[in-house]
Amino acid sequence: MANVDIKEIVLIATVIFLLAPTFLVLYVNMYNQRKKKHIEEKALLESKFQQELLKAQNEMQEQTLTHISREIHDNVTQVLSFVKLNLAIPAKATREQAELKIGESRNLIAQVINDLRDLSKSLSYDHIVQLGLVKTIEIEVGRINKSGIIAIELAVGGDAHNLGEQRELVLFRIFQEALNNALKHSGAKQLKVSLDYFEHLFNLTIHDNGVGFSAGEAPNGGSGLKNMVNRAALIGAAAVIDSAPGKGCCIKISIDPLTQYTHANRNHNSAG
Amino acid sequence: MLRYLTLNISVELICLIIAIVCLNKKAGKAWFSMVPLLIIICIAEISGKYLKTIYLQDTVHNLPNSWIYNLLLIFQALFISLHFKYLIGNYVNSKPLIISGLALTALLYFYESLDHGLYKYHNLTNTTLSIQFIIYSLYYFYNLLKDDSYVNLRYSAGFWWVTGILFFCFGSVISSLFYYKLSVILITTKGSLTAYIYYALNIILYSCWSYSFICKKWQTSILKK
Repeated sequence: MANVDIKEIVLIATVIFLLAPTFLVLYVNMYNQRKKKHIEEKALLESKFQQELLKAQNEMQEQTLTHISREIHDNVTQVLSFVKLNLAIPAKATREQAELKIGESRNLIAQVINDLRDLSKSLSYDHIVQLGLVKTIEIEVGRINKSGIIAIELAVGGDAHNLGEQRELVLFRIFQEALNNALKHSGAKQLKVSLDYFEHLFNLTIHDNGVGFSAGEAPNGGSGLKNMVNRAALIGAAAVIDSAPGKGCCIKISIDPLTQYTHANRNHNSAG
Repeated sequence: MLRYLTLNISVELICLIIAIVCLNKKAGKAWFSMVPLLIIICIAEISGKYLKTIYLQDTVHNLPNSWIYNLLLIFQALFISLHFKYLIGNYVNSKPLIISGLALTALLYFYESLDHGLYKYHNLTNTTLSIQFIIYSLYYFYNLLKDDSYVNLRYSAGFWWVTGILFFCFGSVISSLFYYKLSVILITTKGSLTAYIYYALNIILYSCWSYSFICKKWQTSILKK
């Protein structure tokens, strides 16, 4: 009887041993399929990120062109027309009168040169790459403050460092979107922008003192805000939008290096 | 002549033909080395069968065929280890692992040769070698899955080659461990359970290898284009 039992045990052990490699191979195959799915998802996410980046670049370019065109029309052309009139000095004008007109024209032309220099520093993707996020936001804030449409207060805390070209581009685009929202919909008179750099955290906060909105009444059905949240997610950032009627709007973008996507760190040239 | 064409020998010969057709020097030294290994295996199997026939006729003056399989063990250890060195080497430095394995095999082989001579099969060496190959196979799978790039296993020559070895070695180990229990279980009047297990293992091993050679040929052809 014992002999029969041992025989059975041996047979069962043999069958198990013979089946073991089958399960092993099946497991390897299953894991490999999962890896394939993961790689495909990663590629899709990366392609989505590149598309979004391109979209952000195009939007920035469009905004820059609109700004340049408006500046040329409202400012440069007007001043130059005035200079043209000024220089059409009548023949009977005295030497002193002519010198006065020429002096005035020189000043106006100097002003136009300054304006054109500012325009050349307009906000493009290259500028973010060259100057960095802080400097680019400073230029934009300076331009808006100069126009007198709204008063922007900028505060930079901590040791400012590069967050990666693509991440800075997306952050700047979110800043532009928030600024546009504040200018178009909020009726705010004041805007506070703060960039806080910590060793393992970065915060961008944009706070206006406008009319604010409740959750269901976001401007444009909330598509602009959703866009901000989605873009923030693409660079591994979290976006928190806090607003209530009469209490303005506060947009806070936080980047925690532990959760950010690795591909967001790549250089512009190496992408796609 | 036809009486030497047993099931095992036929499967090995078919695998050898596929290897000759599919593998050339362009496939790389490691893959090409499968052709001489299979030639050696076929020669050893046919000689083994021939010696067994003589032994069964005259048990007094002839010695069993174990010495042939003991010699074959050396070639199997060398060629298969070389191939594993190449396959695992695609991911990590495999030299220390393979050299250690070969050193252990050599030590055991030497010990068994001194202990009971060449005319008795080196069971301990064979079992240890099989366990080594199982470890190499699992290590290869681990590296394959750990690697960032995706490999379509259906057409992966390396995967099928290792799968064949894994099946064979698992079966070989269990058959060695339970040899005395399994060999007394008769399936037919002529064949014991171990014999049938070995038939199945041989068919699985050489089918997997044949398919892996075909996959290798496809890969080589694609790379050539």
